[in-house]
Amino acid sequence: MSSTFVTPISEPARSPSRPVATPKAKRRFRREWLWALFFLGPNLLLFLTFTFFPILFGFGVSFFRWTIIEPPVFIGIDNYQQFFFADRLTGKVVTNSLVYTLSALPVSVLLPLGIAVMLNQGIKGTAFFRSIYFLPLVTSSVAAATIFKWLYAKQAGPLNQLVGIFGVPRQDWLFDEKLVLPALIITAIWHGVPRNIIFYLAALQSVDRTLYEAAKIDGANTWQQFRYVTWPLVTPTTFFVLIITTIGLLTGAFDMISVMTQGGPLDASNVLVFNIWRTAFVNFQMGYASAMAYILFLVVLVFTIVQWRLQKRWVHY
Amino acid sequence: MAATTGALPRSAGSRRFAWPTLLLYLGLIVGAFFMLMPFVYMVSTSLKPANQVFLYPPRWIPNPIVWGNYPTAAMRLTLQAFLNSLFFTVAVVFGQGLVTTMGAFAFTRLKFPGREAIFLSYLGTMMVPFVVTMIPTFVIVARLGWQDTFQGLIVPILANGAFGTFMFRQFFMTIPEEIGDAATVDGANPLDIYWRIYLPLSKPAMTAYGVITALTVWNMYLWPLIVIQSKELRPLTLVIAQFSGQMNAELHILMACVTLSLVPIFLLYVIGQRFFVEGFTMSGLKG
Repeated sequence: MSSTFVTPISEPARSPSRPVATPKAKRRFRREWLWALFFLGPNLLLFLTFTFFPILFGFGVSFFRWTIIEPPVFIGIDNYQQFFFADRLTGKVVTNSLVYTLSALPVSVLLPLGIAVMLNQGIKGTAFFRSIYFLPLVTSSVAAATIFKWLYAKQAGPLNQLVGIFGVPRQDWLFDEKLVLPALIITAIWHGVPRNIIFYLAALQSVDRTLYEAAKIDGANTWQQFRYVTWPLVTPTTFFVLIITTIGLLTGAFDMISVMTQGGPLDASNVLVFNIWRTAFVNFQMGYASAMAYILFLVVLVFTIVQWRLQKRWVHY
Repeated sequence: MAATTGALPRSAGSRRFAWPTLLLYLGLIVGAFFMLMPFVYMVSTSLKPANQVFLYPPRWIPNPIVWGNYPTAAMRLTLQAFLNSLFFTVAVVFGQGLVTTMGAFAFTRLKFPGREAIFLSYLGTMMVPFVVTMIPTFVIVARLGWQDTFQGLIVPILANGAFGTFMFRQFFMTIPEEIGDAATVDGANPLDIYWRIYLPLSKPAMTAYGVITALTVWNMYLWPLIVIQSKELRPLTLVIAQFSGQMNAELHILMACVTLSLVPIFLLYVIGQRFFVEGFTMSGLKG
């Protein structure tokens, strides 16, 4: 599994149009296209109505001023101009998104690798620890956010108890413009770690054990074994984890922010996804929100392409 | 001993104290502490009497333990919210399961004009995040008059099956075509082959995909938030989010509500941890 999930798209799977290998031509069904319609019909109808069409429709809407109540008015690229040159929130929201994503990213990618290596040593109690580490995975982000909101509470919050041990005075984490993003980043890491552990564990379990035997005979210590055997072998997985975690952080912070801060205080935790939702469903500026959604999509694409380009430098296949 | 990295000295032969093992346990315990702490706080708060909730420093072991918070919380959450979440989840799991496997079967086994072009357009949309399609999808749902209905909630999520279709197609391709051909000789039609051969052979993949879909849908928040307004139709996530903003004075009840909302999925997790792990490993792209 570990090798197939890294780049499923480029996997050299049998192409649908591949000539049939058997000497006899494959037995065909009568009226095969009718069967195809029966099998693919519902799927295709749903796909066209709720995935394919919305992608085009949304792009079209981004060139209109549309408040739902009034009919849409074509305004060309005004929505995009507003985002880049007129909207005072843009700078703050984009900065927040980038700070949030880039700060949570390294820990979200590397910490799970460390935990996976520890969980892969085969010591007693591994199954028990694994169950604990996977718990946030099944917890809804709404439930997680509700719990963390109170962990961060100023008056009776456990986090203040914890930092109090180190002599730090009580903070109002979610209502402090400087602390609110770090607080959200910690929550995102907590919630996102288990899924990445699973990916790394799958990769580690497929590593050929004899490689370690060979490394030990050559006198490699624990760190060297990790650095020169484990790390090169998991770089494809690390790359994959890096890509999906980046996309997840850029596009997935909504639930947490909606429950914990509503973008506050003073938009200090307002990120692109949250701002898009608010613009569309609180302010009913459908056109402007669509434009921002496409800009976010572009940001996701740029991040993915840059990481794809950089992979040659460090990913071993 | 499944010591795959072999990083630890085998202590069996040596008399040396196993420091690395001890450090390993220490690391795992510290990590487990941080992973568990929020849950401990949740359960502990849910069992406190009202006057101990806001004590500082927080008292971690409630005294006395107030089990009565749970009946109160259950009344607030209502059975309806659980049933709404359950219905939403079951409908999507089975609906998407049927639609994706059928579509994948067509892509794998049947020939029809435009097959490759259609499949490529499926692949092409998989990169597009939900925020992009969310607004137009809502507009379509509103136009259909499906706002604030279960079909408005469920049907567009059924269409999130592009990834599932792709995944089942990859899986179906590992099933030798000869099996289906042999059945055709015996007079089987495509429906027989799909139902009696392909589906039974893909049970593990279907279970894993089903478990992950169930988890995703059970925990879904943004889409229900956009579509659903009526109290009677709200799934658990919406109810919890709403309580989270309102019940500041009754933290103990709120935490009991959150605990109760987690029980069904935690039970499922305890029963089928293996399937969760397999599902995530398999559906890496879904994130």
